[in-house]
Amino acid sequence: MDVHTMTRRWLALLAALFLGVLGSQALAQAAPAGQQTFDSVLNPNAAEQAKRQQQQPGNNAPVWREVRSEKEHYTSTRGVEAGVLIQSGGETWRQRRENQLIPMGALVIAGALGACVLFYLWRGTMRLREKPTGRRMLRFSGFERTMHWTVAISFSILALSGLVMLFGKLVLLPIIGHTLFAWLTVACKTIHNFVGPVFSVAVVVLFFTFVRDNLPSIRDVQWFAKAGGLFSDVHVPSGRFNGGEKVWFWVGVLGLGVTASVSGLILDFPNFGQGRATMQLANVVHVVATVLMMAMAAGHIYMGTAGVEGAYDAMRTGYVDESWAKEHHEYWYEEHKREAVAAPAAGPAGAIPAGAPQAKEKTA
Amino acid sequence: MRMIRIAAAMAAVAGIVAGGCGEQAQQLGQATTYKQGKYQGKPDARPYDNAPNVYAHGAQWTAGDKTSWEAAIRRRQQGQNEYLKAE
Amino acid sequence: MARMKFLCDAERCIECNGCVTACKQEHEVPWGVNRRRVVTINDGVPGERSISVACMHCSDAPCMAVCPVDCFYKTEEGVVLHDKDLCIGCGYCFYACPFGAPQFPQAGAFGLRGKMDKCTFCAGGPEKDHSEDEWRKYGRNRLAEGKLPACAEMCSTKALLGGDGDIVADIYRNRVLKRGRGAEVWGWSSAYGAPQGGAKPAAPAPAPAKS
Repeated sequence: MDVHTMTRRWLALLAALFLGVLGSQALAQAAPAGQQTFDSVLNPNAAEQAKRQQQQPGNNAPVWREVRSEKEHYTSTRGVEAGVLIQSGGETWRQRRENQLIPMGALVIAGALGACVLFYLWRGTMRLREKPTGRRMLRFSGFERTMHWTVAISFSILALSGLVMLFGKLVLLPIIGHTLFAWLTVACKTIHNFVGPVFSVAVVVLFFTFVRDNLPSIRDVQWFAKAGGLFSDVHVPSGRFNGGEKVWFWVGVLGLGVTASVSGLILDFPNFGQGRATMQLANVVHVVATVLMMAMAAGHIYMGTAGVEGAYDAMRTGYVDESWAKEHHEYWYEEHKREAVAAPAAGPAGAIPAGAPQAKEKTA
Repeated sequence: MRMIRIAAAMAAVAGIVAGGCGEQAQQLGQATTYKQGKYQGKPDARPYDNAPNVYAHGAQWTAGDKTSWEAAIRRRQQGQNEYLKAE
Repeated sequence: MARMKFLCDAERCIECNGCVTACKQEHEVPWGVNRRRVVTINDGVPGERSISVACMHCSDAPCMAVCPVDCFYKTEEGVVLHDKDLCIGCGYCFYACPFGAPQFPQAGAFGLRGKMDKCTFCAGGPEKDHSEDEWRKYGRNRLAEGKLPACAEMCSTKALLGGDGDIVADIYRNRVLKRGRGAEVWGWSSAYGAPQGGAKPAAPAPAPAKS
């Protein structure tokens, strides 16, 4: 220990002692008025009210300020936030939901569906340019397809039941009446609550299933530069998944899917004592995330069914034609070919019939 | 043919969803707007449609007559006014 | 024109929870549901005030606005009621309500919400008045019996007033004007005898000094 450290420590000790003496003297001096000082520190509102009711009997302004403070006060009634007299967040949430989320959500979803319809009217189904070779390649393994459809079906159920709960009051209720609509909505709510956790788990598994081939690569740049050939007839080569699919994977499935899951689970299980502010926030986040996800899903479903010939069969059967692979995912096709040549044990790619063992058909 | 059907279904869904844009706020006119003294709710009997309860001491009104029921309620409410009691 | 209102006089409420008990008893409200509760501010210290709170039957009720199945309605008297046959137990009214009035009985594991229950201003629900169904779902319909809410009528200090807003205002205004301190307070003479010759009856007789 050097001299400087010693000196500093002694100084610190002396200062502490000095301050301690000063402090105790100050306390001793404040002792006569100590009661008030102590109370006003511990509970300033009570002290203010106690003073106010002496000076101006009947004026309970300090208490009414406390009523409005959204703080939890004493009550013998049990319940979440039972001690809060007035919460203001509810009105904010109401305005946000009624005046922003519902009209803007309708606009976003209708816009996405409208864009799909317009795009279809303009481009129609994108058909294969070359003739199918008849040789088929495995694109999605059985497990991958199971996970895809688990997420897809649970998502569709959640989306439809969610739409009924969000817009049904404006769209369906005037048509089918209160009684029928209440039956429909209570079914939707129950299904939504039970399918939600299934989706939450499945979407995480889906992420790990497809993450390897969705890692961004330099090839995606040229895909985006040419807009994926969506608006032109240029040929854009891509890996197993193209840029658009990767955006859907990272933004839609991971970002929005996980956001919707987390916020949904907060709303689904109110038994953990989460307060209203948490639930209001979770509800807003949930609606925003799911509406955006539905809009993106509209594009994904369109490209997977009516938009591209052969895309739906790929996810349904797991196999695509070689010419389809070459046209839509050329790099993947070439890597696949190279692998097949390098490892002839797997047999020539073209010779694999539908339903053949798929274990060796790992795609690059 | 199949594509046309899919397109038609999508157009129908888009049309239904777009219909939601027509209404801005979630105001169902009659059901959620309250006007003082105007019954704008769902079907329910009015309190004054019933005959007075024999156990409600002093409650006298004619079934169906709103004014007499309101007068009875006001009379009863004076029971909450302790300044009318002993002093 | 009657517009039903509640008013809680914070100067008078003594946190006896009589209103809570009266409500539970009158409507046989299920376990875990409290249509009314008493909240105490500055509990146990000088400056303590208690306030009894339930559904305040708002004119522009947030619960009505956000209900996804539009199960709420408003009576001519301005009482906010709801139809439990339509309610889906989503909890939105609970998020929106400033007063924490909507309550949900637990209908299953993981806090699954049952049909919402809240103060009806003792006005029942859409079922036939005084019917078994109405009683089971909403409790007693006191307004249709020519009575007022049990909580207000039972209040021992008359802190909680309930009924036609005009009359509530009249009673409260009169009270504020006449509310005094010490011997001026209402009921003093009934309790302790009339003040004598301007002397202070508030001071208790000094205890005889023991030698």
